[in-house]
Amino acid sequence: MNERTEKFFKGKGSFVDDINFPDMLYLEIVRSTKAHAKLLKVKGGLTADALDLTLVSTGESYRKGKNYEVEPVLAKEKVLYYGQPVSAVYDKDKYKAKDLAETVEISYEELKPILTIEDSLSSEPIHEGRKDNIVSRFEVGKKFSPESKIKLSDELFMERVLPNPLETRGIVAFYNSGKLNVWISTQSVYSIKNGLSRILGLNPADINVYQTDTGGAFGSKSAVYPEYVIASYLSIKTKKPVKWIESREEHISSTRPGRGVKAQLKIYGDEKGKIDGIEGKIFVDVGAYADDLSSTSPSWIGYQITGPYMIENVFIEGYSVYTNKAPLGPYRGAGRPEAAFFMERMIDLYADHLGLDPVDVRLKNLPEKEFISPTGLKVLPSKAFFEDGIKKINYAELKKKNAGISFGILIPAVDGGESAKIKVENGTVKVWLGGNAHWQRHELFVKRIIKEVLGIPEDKVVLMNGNTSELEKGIGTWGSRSAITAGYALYKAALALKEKAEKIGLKEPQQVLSSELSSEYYENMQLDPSMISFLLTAAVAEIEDGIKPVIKEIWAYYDVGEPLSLEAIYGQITGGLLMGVQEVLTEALKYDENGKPVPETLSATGIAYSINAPKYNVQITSFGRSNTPHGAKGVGEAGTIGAPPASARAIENLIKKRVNRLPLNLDLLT
Amino acid sequence: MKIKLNINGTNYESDVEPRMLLVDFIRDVAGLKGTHVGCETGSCGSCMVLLDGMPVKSCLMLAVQAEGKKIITVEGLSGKNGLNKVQKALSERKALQCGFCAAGFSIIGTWILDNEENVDYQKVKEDIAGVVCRCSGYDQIIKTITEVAKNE
Amino acid sequence: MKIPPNFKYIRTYTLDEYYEKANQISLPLIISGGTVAVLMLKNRLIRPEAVIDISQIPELNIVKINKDDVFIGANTKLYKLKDILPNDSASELIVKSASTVGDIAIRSMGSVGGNVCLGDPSNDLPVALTAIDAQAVIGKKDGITYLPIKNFYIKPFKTVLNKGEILLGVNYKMLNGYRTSYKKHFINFLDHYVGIVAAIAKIEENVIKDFKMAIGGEAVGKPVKFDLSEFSNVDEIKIIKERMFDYVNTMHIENNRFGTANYKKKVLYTLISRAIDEVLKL
Repeated sequence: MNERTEKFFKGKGSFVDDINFPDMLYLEIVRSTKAHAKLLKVKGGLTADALDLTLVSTGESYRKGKNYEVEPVLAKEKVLYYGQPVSAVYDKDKYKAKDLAETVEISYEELKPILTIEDSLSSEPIHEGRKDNIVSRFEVGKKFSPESKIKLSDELFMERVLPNPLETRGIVAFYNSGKLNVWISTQSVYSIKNGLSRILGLNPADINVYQTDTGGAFGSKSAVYPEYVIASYLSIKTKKPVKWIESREEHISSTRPGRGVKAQLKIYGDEKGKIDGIEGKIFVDVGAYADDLSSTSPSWIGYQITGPYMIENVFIEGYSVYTNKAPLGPYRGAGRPEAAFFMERMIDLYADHLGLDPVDVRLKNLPEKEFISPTGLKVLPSKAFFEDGIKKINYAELKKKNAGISFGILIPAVDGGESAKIKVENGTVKVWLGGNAHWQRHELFVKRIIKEVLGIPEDKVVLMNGNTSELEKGIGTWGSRSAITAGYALYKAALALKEKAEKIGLKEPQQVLSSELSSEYYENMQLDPSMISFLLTAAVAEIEDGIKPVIKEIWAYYDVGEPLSLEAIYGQITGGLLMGVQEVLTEALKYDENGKPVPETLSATGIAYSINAPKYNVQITSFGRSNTPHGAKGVGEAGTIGAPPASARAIENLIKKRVNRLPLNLDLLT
Repeated sequence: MKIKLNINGTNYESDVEPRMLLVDFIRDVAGLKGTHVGCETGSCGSCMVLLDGMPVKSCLMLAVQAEGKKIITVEGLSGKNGLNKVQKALSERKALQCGFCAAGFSIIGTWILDNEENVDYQKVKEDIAGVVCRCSGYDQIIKTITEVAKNE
Repeated sequence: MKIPPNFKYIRTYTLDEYYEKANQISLPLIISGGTVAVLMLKNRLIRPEAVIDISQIPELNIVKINKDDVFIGANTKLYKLKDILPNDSASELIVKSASTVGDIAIRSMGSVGGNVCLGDPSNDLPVALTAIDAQAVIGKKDGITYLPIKNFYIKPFKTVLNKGEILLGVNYKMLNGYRTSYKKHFINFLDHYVGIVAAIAKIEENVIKDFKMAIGGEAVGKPVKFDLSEFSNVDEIKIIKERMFDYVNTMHIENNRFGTANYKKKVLYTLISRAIDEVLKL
């Protein structure tokens, strides 16, 4: 029996809102109701007058290298997006804190909000002292002058999408005896610890971060946000525990959404389906403030634009631009789905132009041996995988149903590696991973590795929540990295523990289990092409009554390397697929002409309900092990990469109109 | 105002503001943390409980409205023998991932088991439509509830 | 967090008590099931002096099935309708409509009165009730009035109900031997409905004897009613459809977040066409 899941059914989980202390204060954030305005007056609550900090300290590194605008913890002089924190109030009664929030007076002098990439490029800078709204520029690949017979161009767009984990963000900060203790729903206790330490100027040794049970994240719980700084600051000031729980409304206005990307691309090729090159521009709408991730997003998308293909000529110019919208963050896939959508849609355009089967064109452009794209992306040959997959999903039949198809790759974010700790205590093996699980099934690979290396039965192994005081160093869980990186570190830690045990004569698993041994391992890693998995996705659509597009069936033939737990992987894949499908149909964060988010409720953000789920056909396969002792590849983001281009194509096949914007413009049905 | 609510067979009496939401009474007054707040607008079902045997979203009700009614929360579904059938199956088959939606699917799954006839995949898919899972794509949840219902 | 503002809570047990309180209080909010009223409070869209709970008033909790007509008390839960209402065609249409409201939880909380009184164009029952010529039964201190549902709405979110009045329930004539159809279209589940169509028709010996239809939803606003008498050459389904389409073409439909006017028109054409096919196909 699995205690970790069972507790949720007994109401014994401890999500962040379940953490309570006596004398706790409830924090409410007062937010801007304008997307772009001068602050004429802010009266009441904690304001930037008292707490004047920015998210990443504006120290040397900022001035030297990173020339982008960092979000202030509380807005000062100007607000640059709807939902930006302006003031903070608290009370020991959460209902009263809410009432108090209403007493804060803010007056604005409204400015015209910049809300699209196009407007951003042609408007005055929203940040004073900058010459334009461009955050960063990149060139990836190499300029080329094509002499191809076929030259096709298109503009593609993916709207912003909210991560919308079912549990919103939240924190409990408690400054006690000189230490800041933080309980938080997060993907990484380490980014929280490092961030708070840098922003608040605290000694890292004086901060402990404990991961609570985490009710989903999808990218939104990796960064340090203003509210975390405010809660910590107030706890330090009041010496009382301070709790902040995000409302869904705040999630919609102020948590970092993903995507928001436009591409203007040209594809070059011959008349037989051989692609000569891909070229164009990628624009990322990073919102009002930037960070490392959002500012470099266009180059990351450009880097992997060629996917599994061998395309000899690539030149992408990338731009990150400011708008008066909430800052951008990662959303499940984070750049990978964007690259796949752009490339796959361009290949379909090319195949249609030639009147060839899109699958044939794809197969024709796969490399025969390891290929290094002009952007530096190294991929292994995958023809055997895709050819096999085409048979396994019975493409010939699916074609009769007007299926859309996509080929893709999943590049795991392994850089930096990961840590793991094993501690044997009272007959139980406790494991901490640097990447903090929220039940993407990390526990299954943890149990498997411990069993494999130490011979200890799975029911004696417990995966613990993230905790900086148990495992000091680590990275986080995102980018389909954990099975590879944390799995590797754990494998090594288990070997080290085994060695320790053998040294003192403990050979039997039972002996180890009754010991008090522990081991810790940090493994730095770098991406190796063997870690990149291949994805074949197909979708069958239907336009119900001619007015309602739905995806009826989705087929996934995915390479996961050495599968650590089939059961675990299945749910990860179907979850990702449904998110990918819904991003094509309805899921989006749009803004009105004043820069206010259009959706007011969770349902209005267009998320998938059970009735939206297609019939899934998931085939999990291994196209070689990764170059790690346990052979794993990534999987968490696979579905979000494969589903959008396949679904968009499936709809396109039915409506006979080009689908190049997500979510689908319903006007195409009229 | 003083109100008395019957939750999982126990009476909880407290002096609360009339504006107190049922979900806050369950979590903060009765201390039953299995019921969660996910969306606050009735769109997600994380706060679902049974009220006189029918599923309701406790974020869209005032606590005072539930006076005189029998409330069952996710904690109240499991008896002396541990989890009930639906919970046990969802847990064992690892149909959920992050676990935040456990209350919602336990409540609606139990209701389906007790109330619906001729249960099949499609019926479960429609019946659980008001409960959101962001992790799993729903397939394993639907299969699990369907199977348990069919074995009744 | 979304938290309601402070208010007084008054639970009323009789209609007289209700009339007394509702007239005393400057800004009352009536609550039966909760759902939308609580949501409005949580959004602080209204700040009532008092919330008046009417769920315990006996007159509002009854469903009365007479020889020819049915009265549904305002507090009746939407979920219960399928078990309580008789088997006639008008009731069938109401049940079809009610069973598409939200999800099971919303249907088991929401009341008929709440669904009728909010005036939200996305609400289901107003459209079905309009199609069958139901009446709103309105109570006030000095008596009861009956008003056709189609006259109950002034504009979206605005009904004829005045302060101190209350919707006791709805009343409708049973119809037998009719075919019914209820169609609606939403983009996001549990969000707004773009279009709603309710239709009911009687066909005897291949002759259309009666046909009633109402359309509603976000694209339409308050429900609009159509009757057989408005169509000549009634044997031709095509003509009925064309007239309906003509009507849709004259409507003012906005481009907004729920879609473009073009798309919404197409939605209405489709729903109307499907409903007509279902009830009129000979």
